Amino acid sequence: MAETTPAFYLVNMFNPVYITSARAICAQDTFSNNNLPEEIKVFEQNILNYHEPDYKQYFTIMQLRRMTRIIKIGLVTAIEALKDAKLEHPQAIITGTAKGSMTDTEKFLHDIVDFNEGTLNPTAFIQSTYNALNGLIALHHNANGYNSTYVHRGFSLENSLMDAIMLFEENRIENALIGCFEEMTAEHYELKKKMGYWKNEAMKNINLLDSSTAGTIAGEGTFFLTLNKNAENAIATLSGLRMLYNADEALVKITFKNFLAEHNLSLDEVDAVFLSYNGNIETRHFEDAISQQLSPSTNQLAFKHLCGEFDTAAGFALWAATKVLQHQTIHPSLIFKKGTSSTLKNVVIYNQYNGKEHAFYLLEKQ
Amino acid sequence: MDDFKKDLKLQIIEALNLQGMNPDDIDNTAPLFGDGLGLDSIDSLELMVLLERNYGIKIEDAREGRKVLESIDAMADYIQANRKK
Repeated sequence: MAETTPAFYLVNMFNPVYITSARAICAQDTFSNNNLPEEIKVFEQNILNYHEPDYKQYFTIMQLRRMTRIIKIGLVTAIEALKDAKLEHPQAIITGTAKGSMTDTEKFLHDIVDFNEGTLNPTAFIQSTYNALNGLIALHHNANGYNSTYVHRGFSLENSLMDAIMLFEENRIENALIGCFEEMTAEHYELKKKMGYWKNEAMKNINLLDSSTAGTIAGEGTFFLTLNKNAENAIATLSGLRMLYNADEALVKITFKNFLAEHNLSLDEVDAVFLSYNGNIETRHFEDAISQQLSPSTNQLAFKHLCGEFDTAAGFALWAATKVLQHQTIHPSLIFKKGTSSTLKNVVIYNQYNGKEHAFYLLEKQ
Repeated sequence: MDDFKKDLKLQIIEALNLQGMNPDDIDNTAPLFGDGLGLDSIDSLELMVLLERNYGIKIEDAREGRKVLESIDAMADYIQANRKK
């Protein structure tokens, strides 16, 4: 497929949009203090599961009983992102997910087989639909505006952001809640293992970046941020987004240079770059292609050893980049190669998923 | 019949994931929907699935369904009279 499908990229020039809050729930305790914890959680096996919050603070038992894991996590993350932004009724709710609620999807599919396509439970079916979370957020916040979920594999988050950006450009909205969510189940892990996604050997997440074998480790994560058209109360600015599909290393390299040039940035002016190193020896040449051309002043950061790999893992980098710019510090666990730059103004994210979907983000200090 | 109603309540608690609830918390005569147990329309579909899977009872008439699912007593009586397994 790689040889026959032509590479393409989308030129996404737009007016900056302003991030007013960012929230994350993932394998690390990123939720309690809305930052990376002092002590990073070490996983001995190749699945990095959610560090879940206390749901009883948010929902009654009668509400909780019907929500499965990813729905609860998604709703809590969205609630806190909106609370941080003091935004009660977002004008748009746009999310991206590659798989949605895998737990419900698997239950529903198993029921179809077990009960010979007979009467099936409605709850698992309802929640297995990708836009179930968006609907619940809208109901919870009485938000009757634009509501959409993008299911575009490794580009799901980027497409939800692009949709919001276009709505801003057309003056259709002033604010939006954007997010992505993914979960990993035991069964889905096994299926992807057969497809060669994961490492054969057990790998501690903290050793992932030194790995010299094929495959990576699985993760899961949910990330929400609020965007605003105006700079007031912003914690960071999203100035650029570029998607590149099915590219080779040379095209990734050129695209990165062009991306910076389009935003009038030289390599020296990039203070930090998030690179999607995931320990897979077969795809690391993409990150290396970016890393090798960076200035010694640029801080090179990695993140997939903290959250694991999944289709919308770029959400972790987006959240972490926002925190870097907001607090003007880099958490030690993120540092892949320390740079000499003492300022933190321009942060780039480069994420590739399975060597197919490549995305570049530019965030700036507000 | 009391044992049967207790079993039925346990099945309902499991099917509807009524966490922290036990059979004694559900009054046999109280309405399952609205003011009683506080179930809703999706729960009614889940209970229809329970009746079909556990007792082979298929309810196709919505009005009949409303009557059958009125309370634990109504459900138990209907199941005893119409069960196929």
